[in-house]
Amino acid sequence: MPSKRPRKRRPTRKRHAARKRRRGRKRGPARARRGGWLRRHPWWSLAAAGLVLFAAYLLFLNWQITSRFEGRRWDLPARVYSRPLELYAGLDLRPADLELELRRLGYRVVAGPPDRPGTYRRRGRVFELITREFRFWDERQPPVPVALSFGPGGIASLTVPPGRPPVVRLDPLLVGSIFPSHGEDRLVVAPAQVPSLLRDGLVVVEDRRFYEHAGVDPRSLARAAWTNLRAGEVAQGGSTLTQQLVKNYFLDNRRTLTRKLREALMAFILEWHYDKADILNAYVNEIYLGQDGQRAIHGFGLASQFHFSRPLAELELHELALLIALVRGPAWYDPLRHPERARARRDLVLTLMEEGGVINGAAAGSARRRDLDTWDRAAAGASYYPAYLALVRRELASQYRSQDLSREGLRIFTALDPLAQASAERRLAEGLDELDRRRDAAPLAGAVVVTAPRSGDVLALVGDRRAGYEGFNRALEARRPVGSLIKPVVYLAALESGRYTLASRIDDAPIRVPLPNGTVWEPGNFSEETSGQVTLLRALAESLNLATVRLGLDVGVGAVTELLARLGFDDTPEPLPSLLLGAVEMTPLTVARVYGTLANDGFRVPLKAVRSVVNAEGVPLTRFPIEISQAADPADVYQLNQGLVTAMQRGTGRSAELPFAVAGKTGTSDDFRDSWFAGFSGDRLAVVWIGHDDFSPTGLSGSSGALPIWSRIMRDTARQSFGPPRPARLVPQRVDYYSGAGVGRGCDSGVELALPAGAEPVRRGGCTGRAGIAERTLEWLNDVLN
Amino acid sequence: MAERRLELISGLLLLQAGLLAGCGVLPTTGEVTPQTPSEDYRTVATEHRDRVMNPATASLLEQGRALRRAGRPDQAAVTLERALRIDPNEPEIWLELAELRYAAADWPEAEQFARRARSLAPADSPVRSNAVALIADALDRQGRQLEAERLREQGV
Repeated sequence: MPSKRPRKRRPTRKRHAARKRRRGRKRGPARARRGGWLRRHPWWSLAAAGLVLFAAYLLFLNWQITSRFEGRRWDLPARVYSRPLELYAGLDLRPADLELELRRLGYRVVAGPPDRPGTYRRRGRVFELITREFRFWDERQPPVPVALSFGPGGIASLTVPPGRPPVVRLDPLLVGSIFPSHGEDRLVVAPAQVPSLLRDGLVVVEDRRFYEHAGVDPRSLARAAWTNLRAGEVAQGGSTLTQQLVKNYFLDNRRTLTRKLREALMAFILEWHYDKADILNAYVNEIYLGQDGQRAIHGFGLASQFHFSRPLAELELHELALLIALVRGPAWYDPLRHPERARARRDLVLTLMEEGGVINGAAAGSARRRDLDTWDRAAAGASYYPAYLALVRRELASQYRSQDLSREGLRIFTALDPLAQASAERRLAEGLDELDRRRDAAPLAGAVVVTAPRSGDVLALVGDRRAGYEGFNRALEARRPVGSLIKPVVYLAALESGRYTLASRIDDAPIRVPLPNGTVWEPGNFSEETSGQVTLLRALAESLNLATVRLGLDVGVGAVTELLARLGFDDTPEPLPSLLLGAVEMTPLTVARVYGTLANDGFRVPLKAVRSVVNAEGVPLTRFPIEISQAADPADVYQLNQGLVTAMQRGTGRSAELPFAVAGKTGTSDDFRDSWFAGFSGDRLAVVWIGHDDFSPTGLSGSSGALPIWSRIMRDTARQSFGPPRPARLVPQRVDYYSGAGVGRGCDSGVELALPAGAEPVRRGGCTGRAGIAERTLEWLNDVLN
Repeated sequence: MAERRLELISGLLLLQAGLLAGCGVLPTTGEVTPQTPSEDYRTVATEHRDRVMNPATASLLEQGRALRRAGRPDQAAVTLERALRIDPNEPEIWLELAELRYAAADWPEAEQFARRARSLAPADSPVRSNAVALIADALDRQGRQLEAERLREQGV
């Protein structure tokens, strides 16, 4: 209002002058006029203003609710799948592992022969099952009936219907989703996939008059109010399904009158615009049904996967009833934490469904007798893999915007092997617990990477000892000094130079290295002893520092960094002599990449988590094919790997004691701050890192910390001995482990090595058998005493 | 120095060493028994030559070839990669993937895949000579005739 109220019957001239004075406040006189009207009809004008405001508010609500319902429908988080398990005769798999996989996929055990997709029967070592239909990147695989029997070496026989190839893919496991930062995760189901029992059950339990009311049900509101009044507290909600849907849209749990009113208005608007089927379908996909860490479980599609690990369409009556029971209080009725409460509520739902005529008494009775049957997530390992998903996100970041990933309903097929992942998680947690019990210090941190080196598949990734913990992902983020893990690169550089073979000798004696900054670097051996003239084989297997530094300086630190880059290290470290002993930082994933090139005989195969991406309709979008490029001569790498196999047999890795051949290397950084082990069999590569986040010493070497964990993971996941075919230009020869001289079969300390055809081993030194025994005894005593 | 000290101790410890070696606690050297990992490692060359392709691999390989002939290279590649994940040491699959890249005029990739096939193929096997021929062809296509000639002459 103007500060000076205009007087009535002002002379015209004066009024004109006043208008002039109020230039810039052009509306003054109009307001004055309206002000007059206002004064005469205060109530009417108030009502009119109120009406205008209310209309505006309604329009706003209308915009809010329709844009929510229409425009957004739902953000569809990308669904992430594991690798499909390929079943075929000859697959080295344990019956228990197949059963675990089937359970995690939610396959139902049946007593008779399996009769529909997603069911199986096990009789000892014989399994019969019918796979679920699944649309893979390349084809839609129909349900396939499979019979298979296990022998001592895995699946001995596999029977499929005539005309089908003798290899069948199980449907992949849904291992996670890339949901937006607000944490809402959902798996949207089409109306056709929603069982009618669920729809009818929701109506009789939550909103009996759903098909009659117009969004708000005064009768049930009155009934609820009456009940609450008598109970003296809010015991019953009179909300309709439509109101509940609105409430879920805006996630506001305050029980205020204005919120209730807004909810009611929005419910009216929703009913005005859309029919009941649309609203019910939205409800089924929208409603909040549980919490999994940061992830909010929305919709019955995801709740079905979350609680039963199977599609909604496959649920039985008692399972559907449990999901309906959850609507009232997902945390309160959480079947894992409060099974009794959940069961009571489920049975009540069944009774209401019976009373409502949705099911008959017999069906209700038999469903009431069933257990909750929820999938035991805890027993099967984590159901959600944040560390692995971080790698998936990172790989897709260059091709997909983050909103595409969290909204477009993409399906992402990955290489994640749930069995390997479960092993890596469990072995790391157990191993660290064990180490913590023996030490009186802060709890250790750790990380694991498991890959299939030939294809470059990242099978498992653990970034924290607590599985499923979404925090610092050490497998991807922790850049730590690698210590002796670098040594194979130094030796390979030496072999590449052509001046050395694995049988060549080098001096393991004190060395002083003047540095550019004027200081002198004097490295020492781990054992604080020197060994004199040693073979490259022994120096590598026993991880002798002084011999390695001498060798590295001879071939040049530059040659080592150049080779490191070829092998897959994506950083350019300064070529300082200390690099020869591992003063270079890498993440566990980077170590897996570099060692992968060694495992692949010198061929570099980029590591990948994602295999392909399809859109919500299953149309292929992107594929990430296997790539390969030769980084080093297979003959040089073959020679080197003999050293890494020897390290496992008689060197720093000998305590692994695996029943198949492996190649590997320990790594220990200065002051025992990092304990590493990296190594591979014929089919698996694993890297284990242990340390403290604050870089404080752990007191653990590579072999006392990381090795036992590595060895257990390899025992669980690897099946093939490491044994590449010998390149033609290498010839097997028998040489002395200590002197490198050519020896006969009688020499105790002789080892068979494939060496370049032209390179004759030296004659000097001969067989050192006796000294060998003495030394090994000393080593053994050391082992026992330590 | 250390070696001399070791020699001194060796006399004292010889008895225990003998006993312990008998118990199999010490790392074994000398004559290797068939159970030791080193034996696995060394015999692989022959083992490789004798290997029989898994029926699953064979079926997927055949399927992959059929898809390539049918002009569906993407499907063929996916099928061959399935085979590869089942049997990653089978040179024929790598060679087939190389053929696929070659057909797509991706010479550098064809060369790399063929090199991988060669590295896994047993000496004197047809897969190996096919791989060598394909590497040479791919080199030719990349304008590296000299390398291709040399490779054809060496024939390995």
